[in-house]
Amino acid sequence: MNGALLSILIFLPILASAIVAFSPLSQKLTKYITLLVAGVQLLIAMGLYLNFSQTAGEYGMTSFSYVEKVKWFEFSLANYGKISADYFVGIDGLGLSMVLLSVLVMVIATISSWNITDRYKGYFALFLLLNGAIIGCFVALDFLLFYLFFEFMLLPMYFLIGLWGGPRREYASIKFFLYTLFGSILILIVLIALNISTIDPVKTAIEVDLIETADQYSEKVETQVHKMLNFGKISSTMHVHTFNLIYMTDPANLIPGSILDTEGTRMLLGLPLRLVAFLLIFIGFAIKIPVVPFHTWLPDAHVEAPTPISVILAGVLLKVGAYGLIRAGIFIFPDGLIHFSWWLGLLGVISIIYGAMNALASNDLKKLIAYSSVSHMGFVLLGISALSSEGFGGAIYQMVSHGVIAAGLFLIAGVLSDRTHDRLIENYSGLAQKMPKYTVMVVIFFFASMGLPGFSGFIAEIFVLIGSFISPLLPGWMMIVASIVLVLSAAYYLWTIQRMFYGPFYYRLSDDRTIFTDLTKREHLMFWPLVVIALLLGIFPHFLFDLINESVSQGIDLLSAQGLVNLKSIIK
Amino acid sequence: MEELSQKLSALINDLGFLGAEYAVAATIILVLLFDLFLSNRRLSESIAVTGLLISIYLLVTSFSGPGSTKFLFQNMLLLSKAAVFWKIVVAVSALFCILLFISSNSKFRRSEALIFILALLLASNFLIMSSNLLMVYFCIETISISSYILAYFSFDKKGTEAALKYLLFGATSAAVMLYGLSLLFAITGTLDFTSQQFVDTLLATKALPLIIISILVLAGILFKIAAVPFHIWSPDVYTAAPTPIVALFSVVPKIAGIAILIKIVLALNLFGQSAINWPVMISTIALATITVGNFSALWQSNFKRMMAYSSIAQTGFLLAAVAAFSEVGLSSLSFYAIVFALANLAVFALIQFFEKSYQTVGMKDYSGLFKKEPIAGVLLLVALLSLTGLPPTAGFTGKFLIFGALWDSYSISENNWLLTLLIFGLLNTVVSLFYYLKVPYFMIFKEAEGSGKNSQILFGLENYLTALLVVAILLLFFRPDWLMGWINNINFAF
Repeated sequence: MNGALLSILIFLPILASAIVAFSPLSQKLTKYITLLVAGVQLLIAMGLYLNFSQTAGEYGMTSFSYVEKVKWFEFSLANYGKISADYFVGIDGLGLSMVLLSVLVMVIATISSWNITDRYKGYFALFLLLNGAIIGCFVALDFLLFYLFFEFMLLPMYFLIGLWGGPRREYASIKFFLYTLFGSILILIVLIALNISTIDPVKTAIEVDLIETADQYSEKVETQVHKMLNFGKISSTMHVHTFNLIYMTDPANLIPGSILDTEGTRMLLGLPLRLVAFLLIFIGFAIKIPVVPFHTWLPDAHVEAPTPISVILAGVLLKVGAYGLIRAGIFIFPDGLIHFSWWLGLLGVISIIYGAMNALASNDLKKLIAYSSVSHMGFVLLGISALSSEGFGGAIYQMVSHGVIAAGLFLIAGVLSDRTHDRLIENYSGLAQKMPKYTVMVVIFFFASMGLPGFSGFIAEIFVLIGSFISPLLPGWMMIVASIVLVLSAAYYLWTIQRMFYGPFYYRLSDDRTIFTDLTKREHLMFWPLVVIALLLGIFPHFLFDLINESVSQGIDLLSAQGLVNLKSIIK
Repeated sequence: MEELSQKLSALINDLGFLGAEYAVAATIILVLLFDLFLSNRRLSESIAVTGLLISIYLLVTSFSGPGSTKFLFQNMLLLSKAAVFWKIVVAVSALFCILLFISSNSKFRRSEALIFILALLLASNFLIMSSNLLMVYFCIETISISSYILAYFSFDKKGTEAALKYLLFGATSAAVMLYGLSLLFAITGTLDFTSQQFVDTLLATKALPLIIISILVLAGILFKIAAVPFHIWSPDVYTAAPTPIVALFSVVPKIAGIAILIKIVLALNLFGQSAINWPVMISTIALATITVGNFSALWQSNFKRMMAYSSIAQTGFLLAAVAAFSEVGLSSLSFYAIVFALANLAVFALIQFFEKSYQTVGMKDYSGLFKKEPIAGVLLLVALLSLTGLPPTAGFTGKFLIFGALWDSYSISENNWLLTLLIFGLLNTVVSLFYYLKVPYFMIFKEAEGSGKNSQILFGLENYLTALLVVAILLLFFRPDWLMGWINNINFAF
């Protein structure tokens, strides 16, 4: 039941991208190919979902299904030992939920790209490339592979915003690129340090002749390798340094005396190096999420990006940041999470408030939605830093839920700007009369986003709030402040509805009433799946919770048990 | 008398180890003669290429043979596997530059340029092997003299100015270096910097004179590799000289200079016993070089001038690897040097292609060219991304290895300078992205002003060469073990 399904998910779009770029296809054929690719991906992801089961137990190799592991490269480097990297992919509940979200958003975004005719070849080739890179990020279990996909998303995104975006697209695209690259560099610094500090117990065991092939590896061998490592019995030339994200979570794999060793006493600026590393990696991913004050690229990028790209950006790309923070940040540095949880929670709360305030003050519909994204992603951070099952589960739930709802919200802004090329809220009034179906859709998504019971956002936010309230680390007022801010989100959405849709019809810039046509069939096709899923996840939360349940409990076990042990040992 | 004859037979014996150099020297003479009597352009060009190919073949066979470290000519030269490795890199780069030159438009005195390129290569070969201070000085001077003349090969007013500036700076730094060398000789009483006497006497020397001497000695080498603060000549020269010559300058003397810098710095470091803290010194120079190079490149509007500052910054990254003072650092450095050479040569080849086809000079001239030359545009983008150090290019792997070596040295020595270099060096990547993307930005995002310019050349030799280089850049990202397998056989420390 293994096959190479995940590889197909990654490389199908990349292959299609090459075909689209180098063959003389018509626009129609090109977009059907793109849709076909996304459709096949959706089918595969559904297949993965239906056959998925995650075994209980500790977080480790056994938590992942559909694993593919092939040697990528391995070379020795002077007296440093060997560096080895694998093409290593696999998914657990967390990864699968993200993959499902991204293939869904990809299908919707493809439909939304239907009318792109300007340089369509480049557009769809880059679009497919982006698609492959995103999936790669969610399934990679080797840090180098993850980083490759993580960086590789930037380039297509840069061109997609910069070439097909709005009036200030060039500024927005380079700002996006530089900001996220800055974050990636911080991650890279930690990535290198992790590689230096971590060994691959299996390959090291082979290197020191404990076993001959990887098949003979057992727990006994593992204990032996760890013992030998701990007593310095393995000379540095025998170390096989790894990028494996799972080995990195186990402190027993850290070389004693190395930079990120939990037993070490290395300090920098008065902080243990492990905590410094956690801060670097946190900032790196926080730029992507984005967390206030690292968010300033987001409004620009969102406002200038073409609609389908905004949909991907809000629906999936922000989740890559949050997913990375979980997989490569807090799972590897649980001590950092515990030590800084108060500050992380505070940043989450600030994001929630600041995003909502800005949304309230925005007069551009797209900017309003962009800031509401900042606000809602704040819940993810709050949930993660709560260190309780409810909070962590709620955070993952919020990632999926926000992915679905934000995609819908940006489509809503896209529908309007397709017709008038103008998104200023104050220019419109009484749209409900001209575009009733559109208004219904707007109301549905606005209500979903403000967390109305029955929609997925409600479940996610309520779990985050409960989680942060019962959190052993966060003070109670954070939850109270965060929930009060929910009123603000109701305020900016309702106020927008009132300004744009109620009252007599009026459009400031043009007297031409014929441009205000209601939703087309294609647009219905984009909206309804999202509505159905938002409702489904709001009414039957177990669909998603069953999927991520095991990930959540494994994650919380890892974080609280391992985190405390590590923290005690680094702050002596 | 007996001793003398022994020495003589040893010298004669040593002559057998320099096959590659003879090939280059013979090529120089042949090109000179054929040019004098037949003055057939094609003929002298094919002689140069053939001679260089023979030289590379000889180098490769001696590299794959049993490698033993050998002193030649009374400790004047040290023939080691590392030296052969560097010589191969330099020779292949020079071959590439000659091919570029052959396909260039330059009209005057083509054979003379070939001769000077080969002379520069020959001197670089000897520089790489030197283990004697006088030999070092002699080789650096030979490289410099060839360079001064080559810098003038565009035969215009700007070329004259650049060559003269180059000459003045070069002569000054050479004099400074010579002074330093003579002081070193005065203290140690030997010119052989690999000898025990050299180490012993320097160990007894006080810190202050040692610092002064080291700075003086380094001046000449830092000038050759264009490191801060001896980099001022390079932007002018890069702008004025013909493109293939600039490609040559940006790679061959730089790599030879780095190779000898490693040897001299390791000698002066005295196995870490030196009174000077060398890691601090080198990392300061490296950080200054990276930062100055990157920030100056930001403001440039001429592509070649920007590439001058870019290669200053790249020198800084090479120096960063030296600053790690570890075997890992040196292995990483050799990987990075190769990747840097590949990407830099690719960029200059494309610059030449666009110069020839569209008369481009400034970055603005590249506006809208992506539509006309999509393949060349993609190649340029990949090469520039490799210089930036983004995956999936080998530039990323190279930076990864260098900064890995710095982390590793930091974890052993806890020297905070190394950490500073690590963090600020990597953050400089963000700055460099901004200017590296400028030309692709103009090519892809801007529309051409006026549509008169159209290419006559569809796909030149430059493009095939670049395609080859870019494939290598991508391949080395996905399979770094192929190159690292070779590098691991080499002991770079002496």
